[in-house]
Amino acid sequence: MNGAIRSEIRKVFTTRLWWGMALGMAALAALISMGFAALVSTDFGDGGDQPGGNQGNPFARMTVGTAQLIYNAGLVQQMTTLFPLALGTLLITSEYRHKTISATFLSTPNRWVVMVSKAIAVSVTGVLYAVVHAAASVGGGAAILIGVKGEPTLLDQGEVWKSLGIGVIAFVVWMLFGFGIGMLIRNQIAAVLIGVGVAFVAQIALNVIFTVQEWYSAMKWLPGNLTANMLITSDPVEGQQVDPATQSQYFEFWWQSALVLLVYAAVLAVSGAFLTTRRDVT
Amino acid sequence: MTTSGQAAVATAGHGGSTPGTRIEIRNLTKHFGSVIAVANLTFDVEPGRITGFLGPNGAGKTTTLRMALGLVRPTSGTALIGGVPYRRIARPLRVVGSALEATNFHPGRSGRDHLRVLGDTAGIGAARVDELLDLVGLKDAARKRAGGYSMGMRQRLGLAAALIGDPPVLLLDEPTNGLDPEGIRWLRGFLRHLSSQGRTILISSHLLSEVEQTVDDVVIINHGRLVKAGPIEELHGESTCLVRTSDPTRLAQALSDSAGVRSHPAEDGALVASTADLRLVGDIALKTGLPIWELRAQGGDLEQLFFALTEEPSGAAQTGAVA
Repeated sequence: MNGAIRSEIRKVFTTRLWWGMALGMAALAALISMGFAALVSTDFGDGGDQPGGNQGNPFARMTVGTAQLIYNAGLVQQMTTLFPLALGTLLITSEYRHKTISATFLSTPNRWVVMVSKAIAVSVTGVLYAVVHAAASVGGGAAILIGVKGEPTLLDQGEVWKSLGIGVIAFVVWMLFGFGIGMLIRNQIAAVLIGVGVAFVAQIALNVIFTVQEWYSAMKWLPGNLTANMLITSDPVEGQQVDPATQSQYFEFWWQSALVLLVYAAVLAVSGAFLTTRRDVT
Repeated sequence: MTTSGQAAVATAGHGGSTPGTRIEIRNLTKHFGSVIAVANLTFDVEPGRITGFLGPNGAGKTTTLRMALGLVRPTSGTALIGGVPYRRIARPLRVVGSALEATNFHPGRSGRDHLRVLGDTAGIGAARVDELLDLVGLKDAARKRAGGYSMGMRQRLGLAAALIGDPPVLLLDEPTNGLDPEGIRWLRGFLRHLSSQGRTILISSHLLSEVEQTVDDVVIINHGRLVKAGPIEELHGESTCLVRTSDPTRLAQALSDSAGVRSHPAEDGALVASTADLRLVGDIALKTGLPIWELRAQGGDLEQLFFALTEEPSGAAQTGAVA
């Protein structure tokens, strides 16, 4: 088992993919954080005009919740979650694309051992990505807060660091989503397109539909929203007048969102792995 | 059998009383939907010999190898290596080395890293990997990305991967594919050397001529069915000689009358006599007063035989099986 895990981790880090994607993600994360930081103490973030009730403006003043939004901006915006999703998918499907999966199963014929080792390897990669993402986001966001806005960074607040810590769960979960989709679909192009399509396009579409229909309690079950809600542990619109109906789009505690996400990831990964253990490798 | 090979067999928990590890294919059958890829295939691969697994493209060779390696689930039948199915071998890389296709590498990973990834699963470290790269002549390209390797280099890397655990059994799918004549000669010597250590070696090929000088035994399949299995000498059949003279009919008569040698006419007036004794044919021609324009021995034409065997419609040839 240890050998299989070591082998899977070595696979991840012996091609250029992991650092190429990390670089792209870091650049995007820094940019989005800078954008969010630039909104502080403006009224651009005002949700009052949105369909449905007034959801408040999280950027009206710098709160702990606002800092959490800024330092996780890429994830909250559901942009940088696509990187672990795509990486997880690519890592698995490249085994099929380049037919190295045969060699993998020949050296470790017990396919469950392979699946668990792979899941561990992509999780380890997810942790690394979370660290890179946090560093890039904090760097970009804090630079704007200090240099342009003259606002406090709130990096001395425990809740802000807790949120960055929860980011690790977000990355592991999105990596495992990719792992599951890759195992289920196997065709690299199809898997990436479907995965990103569902995570990005369907997520936006459903959010719009749910908002227009005012189905707030349904919104909290979408993976992207779960990720954002898990990361933002402190209410950024604290003290503002907010339509109470919109509150049902959040779980009460961050760990509830985390739990739902982990269940999603487990279902996807286990069903992908199960099929893989049954299929012929031709 | 090498010491390490025997150790490997013992650790795999199936060390028998006979040295070496035998591959036993028993009634192996695989259906892909309505297509029958492999039909009731039975043969053995013996230790200390090189067995050629032959058949035209699409005959079911690769499917058979994949079933023997636990990658493809047989519809029925079994494939045992040293008495157990591949999937039940505890440390497979130390028992069976396999190279399935020369393209099974991530193009962005170096040859050395590819072997390191494999080695990790069996606790094989960098030292053994570098030793192997040296052995197959890939030392200089070891740290380059495999996507830039030539076909010959890929075959060598595949061979290194198969040998990584010093296994007593080798299964190589089309190892001569893409090799130049020099590479084929190198491979032949290399396999001979490995075989002399008592290893069980099975190499598949769709070209008999490429492995003819390498293998001891052949297993020929067509349309997923066994056509022939046995030592390659049995394939050669009787030797003949070709003779060219002014009056083939008279020579044929003389051969038959004075020595009981059968003969039949060949193209452009030549005569093929069923004997390897050139001197006898020459003497008879002289006695009959016929000139000899050409006289040469003909081995049993294996290639011709191979085509004859594999071009028969499926099923018709399976009775010829010798085990």
